[in-house]
Amino acid sequence: MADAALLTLATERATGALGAGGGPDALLARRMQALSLAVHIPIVCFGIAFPAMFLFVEGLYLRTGEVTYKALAKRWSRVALTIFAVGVVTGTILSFEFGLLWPNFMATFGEVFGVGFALEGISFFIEAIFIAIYVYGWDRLGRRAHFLAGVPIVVSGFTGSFWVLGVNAWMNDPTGFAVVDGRVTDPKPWEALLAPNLGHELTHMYLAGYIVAGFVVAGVYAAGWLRGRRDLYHRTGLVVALSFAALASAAQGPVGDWAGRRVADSQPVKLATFEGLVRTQAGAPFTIGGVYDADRGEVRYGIEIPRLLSLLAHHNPNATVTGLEVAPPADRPPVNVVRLSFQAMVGIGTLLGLLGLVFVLTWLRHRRLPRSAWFYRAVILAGPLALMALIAGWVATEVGRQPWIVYEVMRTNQAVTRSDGLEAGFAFLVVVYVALAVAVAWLLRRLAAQPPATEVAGDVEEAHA
Amino acid sequence: MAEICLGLVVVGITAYAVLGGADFGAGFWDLTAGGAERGGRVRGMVQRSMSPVWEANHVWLIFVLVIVWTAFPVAFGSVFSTLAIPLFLAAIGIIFRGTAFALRGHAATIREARAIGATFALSSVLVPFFLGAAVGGIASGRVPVGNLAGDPVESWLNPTGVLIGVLAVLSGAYLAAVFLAGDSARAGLPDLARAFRARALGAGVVTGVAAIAGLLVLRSDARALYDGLTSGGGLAMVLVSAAAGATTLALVASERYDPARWSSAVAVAAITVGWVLAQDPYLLPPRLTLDQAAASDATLTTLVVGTGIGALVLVPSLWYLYRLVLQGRLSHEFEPLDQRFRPTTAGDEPEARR
Amino acid sequence: MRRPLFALTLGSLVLGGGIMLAFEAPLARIAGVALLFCFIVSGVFLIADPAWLARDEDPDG
Repeated sequence: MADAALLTLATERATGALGAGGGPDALLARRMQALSLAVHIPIVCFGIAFPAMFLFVEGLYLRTGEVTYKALAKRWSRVALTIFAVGVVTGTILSFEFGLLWPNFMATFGEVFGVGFALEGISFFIEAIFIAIYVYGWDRLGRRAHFLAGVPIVVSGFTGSFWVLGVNAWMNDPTGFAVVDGRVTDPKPWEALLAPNLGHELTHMYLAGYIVAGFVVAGVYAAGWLRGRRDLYHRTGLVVALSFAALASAAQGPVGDWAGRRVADSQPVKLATFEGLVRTQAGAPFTIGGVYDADRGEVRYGIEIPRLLSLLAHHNPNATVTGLEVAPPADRPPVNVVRLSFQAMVGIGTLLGLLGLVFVLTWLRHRRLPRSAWFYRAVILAGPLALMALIAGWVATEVGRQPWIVYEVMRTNQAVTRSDGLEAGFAFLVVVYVALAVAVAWLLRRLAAQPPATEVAGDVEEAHA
Repeated sequence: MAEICLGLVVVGITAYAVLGGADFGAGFWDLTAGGAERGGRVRGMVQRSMSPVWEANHVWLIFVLVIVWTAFPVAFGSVFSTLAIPLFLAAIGIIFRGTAFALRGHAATIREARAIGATFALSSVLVPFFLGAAVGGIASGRVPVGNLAGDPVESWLNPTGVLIGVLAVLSGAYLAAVFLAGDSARAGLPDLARAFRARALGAGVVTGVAAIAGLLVLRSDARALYDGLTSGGGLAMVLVSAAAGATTLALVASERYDPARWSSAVAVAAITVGWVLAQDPYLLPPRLTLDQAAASDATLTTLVVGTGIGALVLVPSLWYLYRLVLQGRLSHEFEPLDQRFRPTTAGDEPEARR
Repeated sequence: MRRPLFALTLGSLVLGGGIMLAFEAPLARIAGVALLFCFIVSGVFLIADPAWLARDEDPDG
């Protein structure tokens, strides 16, 4: 473990390939980027998890012949297609934004990580193809062909995440290139993209996809449940969605621990920010809640649990945890934003895990769903809460990386465009996303208003290969 | 290696110009389809043809972006900083368009259908215009290397930019009309086939005339580009395009729509290839050559190999999708738009034809 | 059919979680994650069993 005090001197900085300086509006650019990511990433969760969910339900239909399952699978796949279509759009915006907002980042490092996006693009292209075949092929392709057409959707949801998170993992722990006189040379894309952080980032996010999609979908059916919609169709929707969400939440616990330990090793300043720890110390505490006071260099009004941070970060209650003091103030992320986000994520994640546990225990022991209306209200809340945890987690890790866009190699404000027209762009973007949200909500409500029976008619039994 | 990567970019741009262009062009016809009564059938056909393939069509744009930012990162950064305005507007247009398209089939009243339809159609015209204008900016040598080193407005709002923007819209409309005529004929709707045939002939003539006249614009505004297009490889492509265009008109006039699809695609593809050849050896005229802009060999090789492996999975999948579509195995039933007042979904049972 | 599935589910969770918490080596990580995914997949089949889905018909839920 490298001496923490020398951290900020270890790697040489890169000067941008388009010139040394960036533009004036780095903070605004970050906000625009954050907005677009906050819109896109929830959609990605559905791309990750929904296909497995509707494919499982189609499997129920194929196993039992019960057409209600088919109706549910059909409905879910149509909704998935709509969400995917929106995701294509928001993803396109992101691709444009990388160039529009961060031209110096792209110009300097494009050759190091760019291949990751090429591979992600291919995955996503395949997902587009097969989701079209799957949704438009209901009752037109033979049963086996149709089910099999769903498999590439699940696989490409995974591979797409793999490569994108490869890039993010690289940004947090850069490797696979050399810096000579400030210029980036000798790119090694494979080394860069299969970065050490990839394992935990990918697993953590992949599970998060199931948690978010599962609870959001479950919430819809929980609301229906409270209104008396408890037939097989709605029950299946609720149980399948909750299963995925609950089980993924349980699995997320050890994975979160893994992520925390890796961050402690590779980005100690980020970990220090999660806690608001200034002094490097052994047996570092974990403070729940409270506010970080920069002037006094400490967290106030929180509940301090001694040695917990050392335990979580290094699995040793007496381990030394690096503090913020090793980095000059200009190189520290904004503490309160990051701290709050991190704790929100962990807190919500824990609550969701408990909710999932209640469901699983009730179901396995009593062979039925819980009877209390409060359970269903909690499930309805779980969807938005899961989304909040998702965003909070991303804020924690991305803002926690500031002021770097490539950790300790290039600063965010070096990478930004020199354009000063970003206010107009930001305003425009906000308007667009609001319109988009309204439109999508409208559409989904329309889809939901249709009775399931419309999905069942037209079953074609002949063997189209 | 750099040439191979450039080749990939050209394939992507060409595929996008043809497939995405046709997609946008379909939106153009939607915009000009006429009132609720007459236009409903045309719009219904547009909806039906586009639905299964539109996302796959537009992924080519991302493909191009990604290859460029990996293989030619400095050029990418320069283009996106100088041409930020048209590219940002195109991006916004793409959002609106995609959303409107996804929503269209679910309108329950005429007013809703009109509002969504108008958004869809208008953005279908603006997006290719802005993208074309950006291409014009690059081709006429107005994008220097650097972080916003060129003029943010004049770089695209100039005679060449406007010309190429307009040509992008027109060629898309032309392609769409040819494809839609073929789709209508296949669906057994001869009245619509004839309607699109008329549009294809008209659009073909207008596009051809505009392209020829455009050469004159280029001669005064972007001399280097003009020279590139009137000699060597560039000229060859211009001639191929003209020949393919004429062939298409003949085929469409005689209602042979399936071969016409191919010849119209060749006509448009030849233009994008011609543009690249006309710029040779520059990636960003007048200074940045392909070799200067190219990333290191390690990256280029990885990119080519990676894309190659990806293509092994992608190409058969894409072929499978198009085969299913062209066989009519996937398309949902034809429904005139603006004449339905209840929500419907893809995959409904067959409706009585009106 | 249910007993083995239940054992598989619970076993994967305990073993996978245990390995993840106890070890840091790459191989352990791979094994741990694989077991956790096995937990989720078998768990979904365990819970969303058609026989159980079909039976919960009592009106008060």
